This record gives sequence, structure tokens and C-alpha cells, in this order.
Amino acid sequence: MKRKTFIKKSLNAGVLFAASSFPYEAFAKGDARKITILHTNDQHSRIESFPMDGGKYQGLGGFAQRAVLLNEIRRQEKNILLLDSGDVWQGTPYFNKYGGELEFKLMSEMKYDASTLGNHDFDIGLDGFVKQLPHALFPFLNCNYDFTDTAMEGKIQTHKIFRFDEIKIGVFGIGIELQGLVPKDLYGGVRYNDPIVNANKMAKHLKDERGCDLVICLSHLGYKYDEKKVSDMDLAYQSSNIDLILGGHTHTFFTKPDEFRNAAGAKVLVNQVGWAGIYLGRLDFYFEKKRKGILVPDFPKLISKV
Amino acid sequence: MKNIFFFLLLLSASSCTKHFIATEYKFEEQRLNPNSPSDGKIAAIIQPYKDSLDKEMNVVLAVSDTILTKSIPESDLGNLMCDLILKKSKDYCNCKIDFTFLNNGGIRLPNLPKGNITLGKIIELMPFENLIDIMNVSGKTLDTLFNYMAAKGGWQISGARYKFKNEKAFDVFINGEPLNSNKNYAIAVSDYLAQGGDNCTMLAVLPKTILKKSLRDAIIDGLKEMNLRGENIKSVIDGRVQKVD
Repeated sequence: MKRKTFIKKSLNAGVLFAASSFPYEAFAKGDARKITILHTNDQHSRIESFPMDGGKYQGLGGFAQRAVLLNEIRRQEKNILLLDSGDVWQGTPYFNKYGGELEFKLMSEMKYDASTLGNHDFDIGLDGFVKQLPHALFPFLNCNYDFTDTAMEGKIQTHKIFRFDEIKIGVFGIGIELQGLVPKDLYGGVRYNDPIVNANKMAKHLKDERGCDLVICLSHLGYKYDEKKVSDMDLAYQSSNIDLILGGHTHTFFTKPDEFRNAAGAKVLVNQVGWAGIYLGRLDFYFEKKRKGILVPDFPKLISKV
Repeated sequence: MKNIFFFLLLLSASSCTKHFIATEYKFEEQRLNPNSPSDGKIAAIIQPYKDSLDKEMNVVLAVSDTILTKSIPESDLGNLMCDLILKKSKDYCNCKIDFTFLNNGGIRLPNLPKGNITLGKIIELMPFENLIDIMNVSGKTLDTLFNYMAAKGGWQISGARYKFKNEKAFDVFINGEPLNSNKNYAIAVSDYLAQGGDNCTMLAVLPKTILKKSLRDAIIDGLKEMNLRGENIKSVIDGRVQKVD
């Protein structure tokens, strides 16, 4: 075969390859892996479901009700991550009376894997948070607050990597600007750094240096704003290396995850499940072994919606 | 054409290693419904906390003839809260206060139910420990404040009325008089907003007197007084905040 013909054939193969959505029949089905991501945001101390009093959300939510659902999913699925996007606290007398102890205990019992800090998680000050932290058997993740010389120094992780056999999932957290939102005497010396710059730095580290196959950002920035205020949508557009943003703060009820193209042209998913534990969000990711860098921008595809 | 060949060759050279890539995802969200079963283990952890909480929280403060709803620009729930805060702030400080207002983010329940209103319900409505500040504010600052409230979609108010169009407030009346830019006014405001919270920066720099009572105290005390008078909560909408298209 002449060299020119060879190249021409390769080119044809390449075109075919790019045109088809699922061209890799060659990979056996056994290569696919499934990871189930479960998530909540803005639980706001809603320990019990809303009472049946004619209110908008009557009868909805409840930690004990969520636990039944979680146990059911844990019986069916092997690879599960249970995540939260902040504002665990504030909203019912359970928080006013017990200072957040019960929320952390119940989340630990439900085997949450990680959460991030929402603005209301500062509502009883840094000492209040630190006092309840021993009840949380899961880490709080944040990479854009600087806790140096505060009571929370060394108590918050920037990220955590979860391994499921060959699959590595990197999870990190980012928080909203506290100034103007949380009284200064509550957040004290915590300094806010640019969430997009820090998220990109962290996501690159997780993807490139740590070899994570999926990078998840737990965000309490809020979905989007009319005013000029950094949001999950801004982060999605300006990011690279983040695959999924699990958001909060704006209490937005999504009907399905929003899909954005990031700065590198790849797909980023954003989801949020309202507030008060009314919904449990679930995303099942199916992984396959592929050559990196060719078809990535089109993945992952939504295959069904229940 | 040549460039494409090079591109493809480069691509194949750099993509020898295989990685796991998320190729598909399936989304589902499950609502926790009124008839959802509850987990015994979790319920057992909650129970002792609930028992001692219920004793304190089930105290009935007042009775409502109707369900009240939070909404913008004006809502019966916002009106009730602001009316009670204004009335009780005057009682607490024994001074003249022209008006009060409340940011929408400060109202934490979508509804107040019909029937018995318990202490627990009021804590859910207003869970924060914010104290009431009394401030003397110039009419000029209030121009800025009313425009800011308009830009936020219309905040809740008592003692004043305003209309707005395209984020600009007009027809502002305080105690029945048009807002005068050259006058000073006394306002009762959450210390959260007085310190510049919810980006009320126009208030942050001004002097303030702190009442040792919270917004929630004002609502609780106001409801208790209504109950003593045998007066039930009613829905009041009187056009005090109007959005004009």
C-alpha cells in the first residue's frame, strides 16, 4: 500500500468515527462502569417533612423518608456517592434549639460522603460550626475560602477523591461571597477568593495530576442571576475539567440537569434539587474505556429521563 | 488538506492510552411524598429531639382565618409581618417610627397556614436572630433605598407605599405624605439589612440605635396581643407596593 492511500483510508475512518455518536462497538460491554451520584442541597434543617397544613410543600421531604429511599438505592447499586451542596442549617426550630447537631448526626447515619459550606452554615459563627463538626462523619469541602488563623483552619478539606475499582471521582467545593450576605461577626476572618479561578485550578489538579475520571463541583454560588453576581452558569461556561456542578443557594427546582459547553468545548452538567430535602437528585454515570481527547465534547449523553 | 493529515496523525499519536470517560448519564429525581414510608432507625434518632422540641414549639400564639402567602411585590404574609414589626418597634422604643421594610429573603416560609399559628411556625417563618435597629435616614438615602427595593422586585413594607417601574420607584408616600428628599425619617430595620446585608450598602455607613428585641420577638409579641384581643389574623392586601408595567 502506498503511503498516500494509507493516509486517505485513515482519514475516512476518522470522519466516520467523528460522525457517529457511539462508534466504539469494539469495546466490550464489560468495560462499562456505573456510578450513582445522589444529591441534596439547601436542606435548611427540614428534619421532618412539611406538615399537612395546606402549605405549598405540605407532606413533602423528611430525613426518615429520604433514608428509606437511600437504603433502597443502596441495595440495588454498588457504586454510590451521596453529596450535599450546603445550607444544611437554618430553617426549623431544630436548628435554633440544637444548633445543627441533629442534622449532622442524621447525615452521618445516612452515610453522606461529602458536603460543602453554604452561607447559612455560618449562622452560629465559626465556633458554632466547629463545635458540631465532630457529629459529621463526612468532610465539608471548600477550595475558595481561606480559613487561615480562624477557628475553622484545618477543619475543611479542599477536595476528596473517591475510588470505585478503576474509576476515580474527584469532588471539591466552592462557596458564595460572604460579605453582604452573612454578618461579618459570624464569618469573622474567613476570606473569600475567586470561585472560578480556584475551581479551575482544583479541577485541573484532579483531572490532570490525580487522574480523576469525573470531577464534581459542589457549589453554593447559586444557579444564575439577573444581576452581576458569579453563578453556576458562569462557572460552567468559564470552567474546564469540571464534569458536573451540583448547585444550591437559589433553591432552584430543575426538571433535568442543564447542559453547558465549557471553555474547552466540553460538556458540563449543572443540577440543583430545590430545597428542604423535597427531592433526592440522582445521576447515574456510565463509563467506558476510550481514547481520551477525541469525542469528549459530546459526552456524556442523557440517555433517558424518568 | 495537509493540515488535517497532520492533525489526525498528531491525534492518533497522542491518544494511545485509554481512559474511563463518562459516555452516558441517566437522570432521575425522586420526590419525598406525603405517603413516603419513614425509616425506623432515623425516626428513632429524631424522636427524643422532637419530643422535647414539640413541648416548647406547639404553643399557639394566634389563630388565622386564612392561609397567607409570600409573594412579590406585595403579599399578605409580608404585610402581616411588617405591620407587626412596625407596631411593636414603636412600643419597644416608645418613639416615633415612620416605616419598616423587610427583604424577601428574610421571609423563610412560602405560607402561614390557616388555623392555629404556633411558636414553631413563627420560628420557621423568621428563624434568624436579627435584632431591630432604629435609624434616622435622610430622604435622599431613602430615594436610593426605594429604588433598591424596586430593583429587587418589590420588598415588603409597612407605614409607606410605593410604585415602581423598570427598577425605579415612584409615588413614594410615607405616613400618607410624599417622600421629601430634604427631610429625615425614622425607620425600624433588621440589623442584618442595617449592616449592609442583602447588599443594602446605603444603610451600612449610617448610625443606628439597637433595640434589644428581635424581629421575631416583635412578630411573636404582636400575635400574642392580637390573640388576647380576640382578633384573628386576616389577609390584608391594600396596594402598598405596586409594580407598574
